[in-house]
Amino acid sequence: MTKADKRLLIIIFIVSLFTYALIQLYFNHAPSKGQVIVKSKGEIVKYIHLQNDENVQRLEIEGKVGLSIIEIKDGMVRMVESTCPEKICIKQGWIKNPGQSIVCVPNEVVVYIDNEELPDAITR
Amino acid sequence: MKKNCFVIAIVLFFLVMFIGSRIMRSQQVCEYQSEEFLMDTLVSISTYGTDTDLLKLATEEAFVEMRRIADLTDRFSEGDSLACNASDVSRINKMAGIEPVTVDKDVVNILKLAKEYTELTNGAFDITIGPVMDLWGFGQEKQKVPNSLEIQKVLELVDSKKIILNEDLCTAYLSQKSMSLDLGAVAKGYAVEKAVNILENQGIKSALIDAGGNIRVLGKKDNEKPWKVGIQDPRDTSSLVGILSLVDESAVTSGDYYRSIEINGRTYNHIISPKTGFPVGDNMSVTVITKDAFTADVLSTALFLMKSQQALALAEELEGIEAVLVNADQEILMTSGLIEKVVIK
Repeated sequence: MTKADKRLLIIIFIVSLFTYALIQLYFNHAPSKGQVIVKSKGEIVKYIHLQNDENVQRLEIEGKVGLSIIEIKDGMVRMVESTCPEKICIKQGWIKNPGQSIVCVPNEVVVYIDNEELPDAITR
Repeated sequence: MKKNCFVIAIVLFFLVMFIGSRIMRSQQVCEYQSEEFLMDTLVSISTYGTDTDLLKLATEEAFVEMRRIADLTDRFSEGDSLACNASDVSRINKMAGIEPVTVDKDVVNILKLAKEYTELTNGAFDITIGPVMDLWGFGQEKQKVPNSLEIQKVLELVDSKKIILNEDLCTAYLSQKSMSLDLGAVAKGYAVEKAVNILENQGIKSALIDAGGNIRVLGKKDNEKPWKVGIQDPRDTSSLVGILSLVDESAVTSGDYYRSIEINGRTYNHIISPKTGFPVGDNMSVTVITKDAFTADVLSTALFLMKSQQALALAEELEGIEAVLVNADQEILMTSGLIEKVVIK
């Protein structure tokens, strides 16, 4: 192996390390923020990007005991109709911050905003 | 020779990539998250570590333990159903004024601790509130506003001193007929703390349990920074009052906005005073921050039921207890030890 070969090998080794570091950086970047996730009976049924859109978007979700209707508007989300006795989920009103959630226990419907951003949880 | 060198270079390239990815994978912190509907709320457990099999096993075991506590403390299981036989609380209530019931050690422990907190808070909190909750219809199909006469009658049944415990025999007894326990303000916190013990015993160093807003964190986030826990604004559910930085701590909030009922145009919250039999209006929300979820759960309810200044004074007096109160005038009050832990929004 000549001196030039050895030099070439060192260069290739360094390039490999850089390539590896770049791949790690590229694949490990944080996922998108401000995403509404809707779960019914433990399964994710909808992903919606939360945007400052004045148009009202309504989603009908079939839960454990009946229908839940979710409304999305101006970067906020709320439950507007639900087949549950106490309507706690509706009374909660709008949510807009990552980490916040609306939970309808009787209908097993959960709506939450992706918490990739702080805070990690919310005490309520 | 040049051809050989090229082959060596290619092999070297893939070797570096392979070894690099193995090392990264073995050291990369992963999250395992699971959730279940338990104790009338959604419970989520997130565990963090490098061994995903261990995270899954520990999380599942933590849920088994929480389910066990939930079954033991469920007071709405009825008749001779399996659920009722599994619930120590249902059996204690059924046998009120008749005879002591043999119960699980954890139930004796919960009742003993709850009695201590009743004494500590001078009766502001009492787990024998069951008959009053039933009269209002909380947790049932129909609710009503009881009249003072009805309230006076059931308030005679509210007295933690009448819970007779025998720790050696593991028995519990309500000494007066028609008395009943309601562990709504304590069971969740106890179950969360038991779940944390399971995670710790399994070697988990970093985790977050969210039991319907009752938060308990284990260790630090990514083993390096405190967890950020928001406190919900009691009058604007889309905003936060502040953000707490927590390590190995719990934050539990009792608020007048959550689980309220509306009768004849008036809103009544579900946290009823064992002294008056009615909801109180001195605080909009009380958040308690302390080492364990059980204490945080009990004290958030107890302080919520006290006058704001009195609640703040008690929180200051108790060692290791911090609190954030939003009073009826929407002023934020907090204990002195919180200054470095909270960012008010």
